[in-house]
Amino acid sequence: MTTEPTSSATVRASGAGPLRASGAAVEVRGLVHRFETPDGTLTVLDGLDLSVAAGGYVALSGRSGAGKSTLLSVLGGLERPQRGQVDVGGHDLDALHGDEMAAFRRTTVGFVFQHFGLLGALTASENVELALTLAGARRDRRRERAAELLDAVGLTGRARHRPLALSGGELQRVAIARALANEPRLVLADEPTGNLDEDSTERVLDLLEAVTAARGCTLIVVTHNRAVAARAHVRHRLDGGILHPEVSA
Amino acid sequence: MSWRDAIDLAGRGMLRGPGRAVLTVIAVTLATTLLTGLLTIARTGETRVLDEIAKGGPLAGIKVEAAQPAPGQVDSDTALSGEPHEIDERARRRITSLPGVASVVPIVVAPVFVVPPTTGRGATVPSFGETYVGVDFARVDKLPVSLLAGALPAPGSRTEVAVTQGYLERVGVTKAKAADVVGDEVELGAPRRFEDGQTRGRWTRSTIVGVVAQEIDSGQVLGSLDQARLAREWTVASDTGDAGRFALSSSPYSGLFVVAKGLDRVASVRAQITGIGFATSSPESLITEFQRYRRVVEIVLGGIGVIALVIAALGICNALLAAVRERTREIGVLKAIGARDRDVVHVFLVEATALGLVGGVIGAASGWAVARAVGAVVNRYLTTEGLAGVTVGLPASVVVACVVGAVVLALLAGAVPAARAARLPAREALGDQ
Repeated sequence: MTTEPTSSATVRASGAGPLRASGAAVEVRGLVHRFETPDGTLTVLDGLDLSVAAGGYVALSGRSGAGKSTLLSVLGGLERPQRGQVDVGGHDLDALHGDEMAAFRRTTVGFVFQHFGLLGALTASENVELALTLAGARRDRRRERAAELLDAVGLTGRARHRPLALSGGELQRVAIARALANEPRLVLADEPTGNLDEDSTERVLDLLEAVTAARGCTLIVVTHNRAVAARAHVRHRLDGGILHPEVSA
Repeated sequence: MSWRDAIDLAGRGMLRGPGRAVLTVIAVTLATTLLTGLLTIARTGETRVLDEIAKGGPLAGIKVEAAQPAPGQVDSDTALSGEPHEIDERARRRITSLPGVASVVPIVVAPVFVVPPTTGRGATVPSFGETYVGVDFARVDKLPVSLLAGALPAPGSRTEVAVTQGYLERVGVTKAKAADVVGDEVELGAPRRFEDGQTRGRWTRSTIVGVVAQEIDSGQVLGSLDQARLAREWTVASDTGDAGRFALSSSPYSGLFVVAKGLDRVASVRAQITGIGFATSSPESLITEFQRYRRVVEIVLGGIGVIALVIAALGICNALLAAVRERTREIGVLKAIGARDRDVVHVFLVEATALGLVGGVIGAASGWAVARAVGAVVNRYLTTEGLAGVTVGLPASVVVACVVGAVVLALLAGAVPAARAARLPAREALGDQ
C-alpha cells in the first residue's frame, strides 16, 4: 500500500527541522569539462556560465549527452571543475579537496537521483539516517530527524520498509527526505521523475518543490521532460557546451 | 562515520549478499583449518618423536653412572664407563649444586628373582632373574619413563610395580595386549648368599599396575626407591661378601638422573660431571640431529601453510573486489551524500576483518578437530604396535596465531579492494545515475 501525498499542501514542511535563512547562490563562470574517449577529446561543457540566485528554482534540459549531469556533478562536488570558476554558497569548488569536498557534499548539497540511490540493505528510515550518520549525528538524534523527514514526505508508515517493498514514487520521496537530512542549501535533482509514472511525477515534484521552498533551498533540476522543466522559475537548455535561456511559451 | 556505524553498514552489506560472504568465509576457514591442523599435527609429532627419544623424560636429561668416565666421554652420547666410582650423598649434593642443573633424581637398582603369576594365558612361566629399578615416583616427570598401559605405581608404594616390554616378552604377552598383565601379582625375591653356600631370598609380593618404556636403567621391574634400597641392603649384606656376584657395587646410589636447565646446557653439565669423575650418557646428539630434520619438516609444512594462506587471501581479495564491483553505485551514493574516502575504506576493512575473524575462528576449531581425528587414527596404530599414544593438544598460542593470522590476512587482502573503493570517483561510481 502506498501513501502518496495528494498535493504540496499536505507537506508538513516545518516539521523537519529549523528553516534556513536562504539557499545557496550558484555562480559559474567559463566552466569547461572534457572527457577523453577512444575517438578523441569530447568537450561537454565549453565555457559555460550560470547564475542562480539563493532560493532559486532552475531547470536544465537538453539532449542526452549534452552535459547536464556533468554540470550537476560539478555543482554538487562529485566532479572537480577542470577549468573555470564554480562558486556554490560561497564555496569555491576549485579550492576544495578530499575531506573538504566531502564535507561540502554533506552539508551544502542534497542529491536526488533518477534511480533513487537508496541502499537496498537499509530501511527507508535507515537510508535517511545514513546521511546524518556521515555528518556525525548521534544515534537518537538521527532516528528522531529521520522520523521527522519521513513524516514530512508522508512516509511515516513506510519507515521500516526496505526499498524493494516501496513503489517508485515512495522511493523518490525517501530519496528527497534523505537529501534534506542535513539541511542542504542546494538541492540537485538529476531526472528525479525519470523512472516515475505521470501521477507519481506530479506528486514527487509537488513534494520536492514544497519542501525545498519551505526551507529556502536553491533547487536545480535536470530533466528531459518539458512539463517538468516548465514548473521551474528559470529554465536553461544545455547545447553545444553552453546554456541557452528558455522563455515560457 | 564512527567505527560502530561502519560495522553496522558492513554487516548489512554482508547480509545483503550472504552467498558471497559465506563463500569467502569458507575459503578463510579452509586455509585456517589446514594451517591449524598442520601446526597441531607437527607439534604433536615433534613432541611424540622427542618423547620417544627421551622415553617420556625431559629432553635435557643426563644419566650419571656410578663409574669413572672413560676417555672420550664428553664427545659420546653413551656412557663410557671406567672403574667403579661410588655415588654417595656428597657426590649427589655436589652434582645438584652444579651450574645449569635443574634437578637430580637418585636411582637405586637391585637384583631380584621374579616369579610371574600362574594365569590362564598359557604355559606357566618359570621364575627368572631381573633387575629391580627403584625410583621416587613423586618425581617421575623428571625421569625417562613412558606409560604404555595401566598406571604408574603410587609414590611411596611398596606393593606396586610397573614392568617393561622385556617382562612382557618373558611372560609371552604381545605388546598389543600389554594391558593384560596389569593387575597381575608377582613375587619378587632379593637374593642373599649365606655362609653355608645357600642363596635365600627376601620375598615380597607386588601388583603390576602398569607397563612402561623406560631408560632409567636396564631392568624390567620398576618400583619404589624404598623397596629397591631394602632389596639392595639385603643382598649387599651377603655373609660371604659375595654381593659382587649379583653385579652390585657398594655405591649407595646406582645412578642419578640429572636434568639440565635446557638443551643448550646439557653439554656443559655433562662436562662438569665428567670433570667430577662420573660417566654420563645423554641423547643430546640424537636430539640435535632430530631438530635439524624437524627444521626441514617445518619448512615443508610452512610452505604448505603459506600456499593455503595465499589461496585464502586471493579468495578474500576476490570476494571483496566482487563486493566493490557489486556495490559501486552504493559507494557512489555514499560519496554523494558526504562519505569521506576513509569512511568507505572503513566499511570494506570492517567487512574483511569480519570475514577473517569468522573464518579464522571456525578454521581454528575445525583444524583442531581434524588434528584430533588424525591423532585418533595414529593412536590406533600406536596401540597395535604397543607404543604409547599421542595426546593431540592445541596450544592457545596456535589458536591465537591462527585467528590473528586469518584476520591480518583478511585485512591485507581487503586493503586493495577497500582502497579501490575509496578511490572510485563519486561520479564514476554513480554510473548511469
